Amino acid sequence: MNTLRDTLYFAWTIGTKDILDAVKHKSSRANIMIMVVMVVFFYWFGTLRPFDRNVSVVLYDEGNTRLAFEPVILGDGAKYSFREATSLPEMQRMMAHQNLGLVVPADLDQILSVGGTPLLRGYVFWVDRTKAAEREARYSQAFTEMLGQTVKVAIGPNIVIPQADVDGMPATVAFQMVYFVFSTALLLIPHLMLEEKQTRTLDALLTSPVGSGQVVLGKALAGLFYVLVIGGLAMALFSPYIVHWGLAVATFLGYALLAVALGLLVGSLISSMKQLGFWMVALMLLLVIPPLFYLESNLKAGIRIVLTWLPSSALASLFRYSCSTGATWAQLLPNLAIVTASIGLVFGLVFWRVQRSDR
Amino acid sequence: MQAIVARNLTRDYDGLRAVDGISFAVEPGEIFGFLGPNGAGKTTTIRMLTGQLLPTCGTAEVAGYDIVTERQQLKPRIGVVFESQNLYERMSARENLVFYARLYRCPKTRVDEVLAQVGLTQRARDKVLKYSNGMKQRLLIARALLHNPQVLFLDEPTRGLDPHIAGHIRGIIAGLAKGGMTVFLTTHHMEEADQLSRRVAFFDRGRIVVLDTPARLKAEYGRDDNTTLEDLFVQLTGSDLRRANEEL
Ligand SMILES: Nc1ncnc2c1ncn2[C@@H]1O[C@H](COP(=O)(O)OP(=O)(O)OP(=O)(O)O)[C@@H](O)[C@H]1O
Ligand SMILES: [Mg+2]
Repeated sequence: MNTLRDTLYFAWTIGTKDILDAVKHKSSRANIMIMVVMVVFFYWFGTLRPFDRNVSVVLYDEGNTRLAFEPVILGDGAKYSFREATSLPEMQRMMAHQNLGLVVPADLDQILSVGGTPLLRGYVFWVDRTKAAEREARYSQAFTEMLGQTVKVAIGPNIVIPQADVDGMPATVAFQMVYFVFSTALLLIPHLMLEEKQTRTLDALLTSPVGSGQVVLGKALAGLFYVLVIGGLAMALFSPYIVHWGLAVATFLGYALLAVALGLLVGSLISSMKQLGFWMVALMLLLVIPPLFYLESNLKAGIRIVLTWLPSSALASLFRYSCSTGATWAQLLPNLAIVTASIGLVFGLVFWRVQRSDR
Repeated sequence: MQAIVARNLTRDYDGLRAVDGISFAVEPGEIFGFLGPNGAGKTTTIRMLTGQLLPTCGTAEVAGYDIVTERQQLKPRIGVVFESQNLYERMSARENLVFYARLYRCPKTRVDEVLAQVGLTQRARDKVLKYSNGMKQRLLIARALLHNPQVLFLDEPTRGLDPHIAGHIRGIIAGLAKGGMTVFLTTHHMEEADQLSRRVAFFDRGRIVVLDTPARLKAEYGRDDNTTLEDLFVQLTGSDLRRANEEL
């Protein structure tokens, strides 16, 4: 009889074999290293952007300052540009990553004309909350240079948490999570299964007391390891963006499970590298790329409705909500339902497929 | 109880009949030579008897268990030396065996025992990648013996080996049968089959042509006292090839 204990024992034995292989052997380690380099590069290039010297300032003028703020490049090379908001809430909505929200006091002109030191209230984004003091110093210096008179920008507790339905960094981060986790799973898991098929070691496994379902579960375990390493690295890099950790971790688990299930499904369908290539491209186009468009607020309504049903869009939405504030249950629940149903469906397909291909 | 019983065992591959209703029985402790030209269906037969492939029709029992309905009980009682050298090449010989010892739940001490049995103890920590053909073949045998199977299937175990290693492997096979293990052996090496097998079956285009002890086959079909099993094999199998040659 095959008890649950047996199943877990066999899955563990096969899974740890693959994990040790990935850790110990250069050629398998290279696969993981490629993914790590990709994650770090995308994060550095697409999210951190250390080379980006643009500072976009969203102004809210409490009075009616005569001062006109013009785009300017300062002595240190930083490029400042300005947009105007008509209220404090609007200013907060218009802000994005690396932006400064600035409240211009009604009496700015007056204070400047008598040679006083005006105090401007600055607002920074959630992700920059730990850098508030450093930003204060930098912006004070910048506006002193711009106005030719000592000015102080005070940020203090003025941290803006992005709104759930606004474009910006939470959406970018959410898409990158989809991309990292899914491409890891789709590259590595089918490869694990294909290798056992092509070297015919699968035949030896299946004449041993192990069943084909247990082999697949073992591969799921090894795949989960890959996904947790790569996805965990991405989560760690993106952690400054996360507002709701509970939702973020749950969503990450959803990413991991769905990606593993898809990897297993592809692995059970293919018998050559060429077929793997085909499935990679197909799933990239149909599943991984669409959330990029879905997260754009100016998408055509018809296309949006179609993309809403993609589990990858749902996962991206959920991750975006965990990096923002103001998401309602009406926004969360349908996405949670789509993700849960998809995970169940894909695992179901995998087991159906495995049972059929048994002999 | 017979070690292997096949009744009308048949397998089709998309219209092509690879094994065509064969019936035979193998006694416990017997070395049974299953001899046929390339493409005759030997590997297909082994794949069915070891539960890897479903028969299109017919049944078989191995070690007393049905190959279709009692696969789970069958598995721990059989060992297979595959036609392909299906080993984890990035792992060492020892790591390969330790992994399978876990799957068969046999004690780790068995790993050292089978390594010694096939003479690989010295090189056990080398990666399989660096192994020669003969070493890989011996490792395959070691793996198949880990759990002391009742019935051992050998799919061309001495293919491509030099006479020394082939002799060594034949010694191992003979020893196993002396210890009571049943051996189902396919080979293209007729002298080897003659020397090892208690009985042989000539198998051609999916059918068993003759089945008996080598001595009786020679007596019945041999032209003179010097007839070898190889002569008989050429005479009784490969009819397609012969006809094609005659037409040329
Ligand atoms: N998976 C498969 N799909 C389709 N046809 C197959 C498959 N496996 C084997 N065959 C065909 O079945 C026949 C028997 O093949 P099999 O491998 O059993 O022969 P064999 O006796 O082991 O040959 P060899 O001595 O070359 O190993 C051949 O005609 C082969 O082409
Ligand atoms: Mg063969």
